[in-house]
Amino acid sequence: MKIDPFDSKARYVAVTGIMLALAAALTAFESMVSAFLPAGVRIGLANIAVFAAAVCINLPTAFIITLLKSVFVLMTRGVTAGIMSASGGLLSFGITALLLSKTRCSYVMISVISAIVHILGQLGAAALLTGSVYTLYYAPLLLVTGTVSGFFTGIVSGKVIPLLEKSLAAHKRD
Amino acid sequence: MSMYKFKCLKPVCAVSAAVLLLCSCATEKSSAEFYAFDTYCGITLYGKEKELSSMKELMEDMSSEFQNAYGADANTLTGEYISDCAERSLLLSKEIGGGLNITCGALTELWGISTDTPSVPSQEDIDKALGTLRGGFDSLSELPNGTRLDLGASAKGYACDKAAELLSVSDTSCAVVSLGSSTLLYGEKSDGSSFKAAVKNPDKPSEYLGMIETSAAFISTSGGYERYFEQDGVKYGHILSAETGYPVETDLTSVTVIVPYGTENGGILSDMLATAVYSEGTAELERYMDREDCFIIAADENQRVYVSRGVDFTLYENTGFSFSE
Amino acid sequence: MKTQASASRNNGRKLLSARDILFLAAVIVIALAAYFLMQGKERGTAAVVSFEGEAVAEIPLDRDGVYPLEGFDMELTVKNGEICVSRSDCPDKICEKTGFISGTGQSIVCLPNRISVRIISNTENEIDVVLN
Repeated sequence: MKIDPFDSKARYVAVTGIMLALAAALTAFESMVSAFLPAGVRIGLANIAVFAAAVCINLPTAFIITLLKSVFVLMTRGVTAGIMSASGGLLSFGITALLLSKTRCSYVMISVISAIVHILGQLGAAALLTGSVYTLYYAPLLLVTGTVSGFFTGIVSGKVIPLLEKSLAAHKRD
Repeated sequence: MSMYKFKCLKPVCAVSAAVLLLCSCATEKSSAEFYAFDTYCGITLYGKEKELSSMKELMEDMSSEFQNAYGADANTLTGEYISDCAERSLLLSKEIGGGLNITCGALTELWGISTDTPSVPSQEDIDKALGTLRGGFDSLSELPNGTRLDLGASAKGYACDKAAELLSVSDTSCAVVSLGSSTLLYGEKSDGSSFKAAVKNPDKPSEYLGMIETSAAFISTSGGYERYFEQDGVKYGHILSAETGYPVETDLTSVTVIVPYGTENGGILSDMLATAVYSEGTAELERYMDREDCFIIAADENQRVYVSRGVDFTLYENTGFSFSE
Repeated sequence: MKTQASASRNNGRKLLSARDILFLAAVIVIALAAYFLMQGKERGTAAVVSFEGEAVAEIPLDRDGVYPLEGFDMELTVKNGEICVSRSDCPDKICEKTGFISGTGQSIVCLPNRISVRIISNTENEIDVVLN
């Protein structure tokens, strides 16, 4: 099984591009949906794409996708949303990377913890932005919704990621 | 796995139990507003819901008993509250002096100031009513038939005493029972701060003259600005003189008497003192100020404010009033 | 190569394990507990509006009214002792969606405008009773 570096690189760029596009699309979709959700509640769909990238490609790539996703938010929804996206996204990427490489946690566990850290990161950034710790008032409710949505994105990730991996591996053998 | 479960279950159970405990133990602030004693009454207490409703019930029971016995004949009194209140008022009126007379029921009825149709009676009728006034007796049973009682200067104060009795055997930590002119401040506030009672500006009743800070106490106010009627351009106040049969003439416009909680009959005492001080005006103010069982805040028609030593009273700015001396 | 390396990282990873459920339940119970504890049963007397942590306005809750926020395209409404952000130019409208708050410690935050609204209780100057 000889690995052609060019082939691998092309595949790498293509798959990374698809993942970034997916992350951006899910982010855009989510910001439309969140208009119908209670204050501050988000589903965290884009996390699935980052999660998949971390598992199927590698951690540095997932990190870059996280950053670029925040840049996408910055350009489409403004500075505040960009900062919020970056603060939550980078922290949750960090915890996802840690759990993936150091533990054998289940998909749901990783997804839920990542969602919780995402929320805490955002609330921390919000506290800095408004200069008031009272943003934490939103924390309990967001933790509940974050846990629930993390559970479902975890289920989706757990179903999709192995399939994605298999198909990537299958193409590789061709 | 099973070990993990135990480790995790414990904090979960502990947190849940703590939450339940907090919810069940917390004495909640509850309040009620209702109409009794011819005025709007308010109760706020930190205790159980049941204690609020039994307090309200007590106040309404007493109110209706006093209402029904308005101008009652001293010898045919029915109802435990009225007779109890009358006996206590009798003792205190003798001690206080100040023209207080609980047998002026006929006179009060004649003027009808608390009714919808007050009017200035004829001198003949006033003289006749004054003839029914009695003095120099020690017990209600000594009064002749047809003596009519007026407990207007003590009913609310008495109700505050009764409220304090009820609260002292309850779990309530803090309560404010406001019956218009008489108020009971009971217990201690949860934040440890003192009670704050606002005194109305007698010249402008929609505004405050100042604020009293006190620990638990009975507070009563008397003033001409609350209840009066006008006839032929003359204002007639609701406090009648047992000597002239006419509304008292006084140079005071507002009198507030604070009796510390724990004083025997403190509620009635504050109520009757407020009426007495108001009726006698600045001339006799000094004598009342010397009493050791109460604190007085009085305002006169020259916009001077007199305050007993030891009272924490803040006079608000821009009221036009200033402290005397 | 890269996918292989990552595949090993993912080997045998479960979708969901029994202890996850316990963890989820614990998080939800604690969050709900915190939520109810933070609800502040004590009603507040005023709302403090802060911009980047600096108080810019204090709105009493005892009178109904509509208060435009000077310097911002925002409007606060007080009704029955409760306050809400009734209008805001921010894109996400999280502040508007938070709705009415009235308990001490409750907050509304508008991130894009850097505005936070917090309920306080001025027990210092709060009058317990008015003597008639």
